[in-house]
Amino acid sequence: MSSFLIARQNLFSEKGRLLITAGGVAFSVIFILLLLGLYQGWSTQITKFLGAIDSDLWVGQKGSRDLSHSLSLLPIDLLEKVQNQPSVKAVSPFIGRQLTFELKGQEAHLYLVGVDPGNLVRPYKIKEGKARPSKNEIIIDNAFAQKERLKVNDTLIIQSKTLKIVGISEGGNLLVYTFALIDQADLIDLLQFQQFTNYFLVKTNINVNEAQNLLQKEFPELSIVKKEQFLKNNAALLSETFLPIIGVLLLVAVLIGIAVIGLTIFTAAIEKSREYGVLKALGFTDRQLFAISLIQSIIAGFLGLLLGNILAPLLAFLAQTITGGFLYEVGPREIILVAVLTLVMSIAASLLPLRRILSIDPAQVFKA
Amino acid sequence: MILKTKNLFKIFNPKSAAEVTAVNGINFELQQGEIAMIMGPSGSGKTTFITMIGGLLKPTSGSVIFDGHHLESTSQKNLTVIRRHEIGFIFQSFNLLQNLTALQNVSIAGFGVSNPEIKASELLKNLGLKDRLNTKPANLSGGEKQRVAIARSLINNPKLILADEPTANLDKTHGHEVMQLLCSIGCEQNKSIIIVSHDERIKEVAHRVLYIEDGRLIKEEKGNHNKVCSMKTHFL
Repeated sequence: MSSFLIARQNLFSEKGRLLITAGGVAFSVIFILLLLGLYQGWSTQITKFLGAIDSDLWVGQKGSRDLSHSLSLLPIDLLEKVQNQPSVKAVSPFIGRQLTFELKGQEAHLYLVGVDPGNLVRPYKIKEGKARPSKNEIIIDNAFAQKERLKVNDTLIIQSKTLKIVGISEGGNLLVYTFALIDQADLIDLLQFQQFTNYFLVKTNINVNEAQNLLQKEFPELSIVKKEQFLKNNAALLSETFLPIIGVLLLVAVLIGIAVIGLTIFTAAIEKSREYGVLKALGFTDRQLFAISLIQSIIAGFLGLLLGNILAPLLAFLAQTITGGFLYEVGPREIILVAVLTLVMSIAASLLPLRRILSIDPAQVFKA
Repeated sequence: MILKTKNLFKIFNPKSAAEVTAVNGINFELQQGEIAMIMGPSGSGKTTFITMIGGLLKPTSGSVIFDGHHLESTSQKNLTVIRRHEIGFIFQSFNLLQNLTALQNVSIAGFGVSNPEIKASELLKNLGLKDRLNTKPANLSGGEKQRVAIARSLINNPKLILADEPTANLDKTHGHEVMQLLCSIGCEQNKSIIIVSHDERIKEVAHRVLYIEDGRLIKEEKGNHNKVCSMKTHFL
């Protein structure tokens, strides 16, 4: 109890220092929350668009597994063979490719996907306008629309083809590019893709696993992937590419937090070394003295955590409003993780002045 | 007998050019309820001597026997326990924790007390600090600070109180108050007290006055304790 009282009084008597420490921890917490929030946001977002496509199986070229890592090219005349399989209810070609074009004097990127005649390809959510583009029309994602300040009825010129924006969709923002939907015939024209498709989207009329096995037997040269697996394969892009980067940034944030709390607690321990000496002389154990430093660290860390948890969503909202593509999603799992990391920061920081505290000679208190 | 030192030595930086013999073979005894004053010039070894008696410094040789414990061979852990429960400290510069109130400064030292806040409050009231319980040291006068320090030294009902220059930072009036308090504590609670001081007035409250020079006990004389203690102040 005495250690808690001393820790609390020391901390709250130096309000400026406490504010700086809590602010520093809050900075780390905000940084960590934004990273985790962005990662979670991307993880959710990355499968939204593909998840909305109404297929049971994705049939692609052997070796292809997702839209990012490998290119799948299949002859379009294979469609009829697949269609004729008894396990298949419907087949539609999936054609999509990332294209770069000039917009307002700068490079812009869209992943164009053709809306098939069978209407299996559809937007995740329509914010404004039409849900299905006709000839010479395009539906763009809200993030792209906000970034490029585009609205319904504006036009885009992609490889000399003029496309009128007829809808704004949501859920198609992958940061590096956004999905856009155009009529499949338009896309075939644009890509000169008359003889090919990227994938076949298959709806089955029997159990999906069974259909997958049957089709794989029939077409051993093709890759037959269930929708859930295809979504996972696409989501892996994120974990493979960004997870190590996020890991490093998290480590940096935690180290910043440790440094901020640690420096404050260390400085306080130096300033209060005479008082620590008095406490030792009075009979405080080293454990009790360490507890003072630990409690101070934990209180400062907790205040920073609180502040960070309040400010991070506000900042994310601000960023979302400004950029439109700031995918922030934080749930209880992320909040618990940040709380644990803050506790780790606090404990690690409280260890910094430990040597100093242990080396304080209680006999020094007799010196005037 | 509560305390005995036998041929006590403290040599700093031994076997080097900077070797200093701070305490040079002191033999000393203190009875239960006795107030001893230690006088001597600066650097004579007084503070080193009571630091060893208080279990804060290990002697180079010799022994300190306090209440049956040989402090020179007692582990740090056990010395801490002895300091907590058996020894009270009063320092020249008060050494109060600046961020704590008077009450908190006293109660934090109440290791073996079941309700340290109540005990601290009683002690402070008896020392005339009833209205200063929640005041921080920065807003207390020197005399009030030293009374808080005295209350802190008493909270565990120790057998021995070590006071290092308790009146040095006080004016005449406050110095007198503190002397009276120490005298009362000795008389009414039968505490053993060692007071290190230059202040000749303290001779009035001591049973014995010992003179140290160059780490040696050179002279001992009787104090005026019995005379002064007739002016009892009511103390807990």
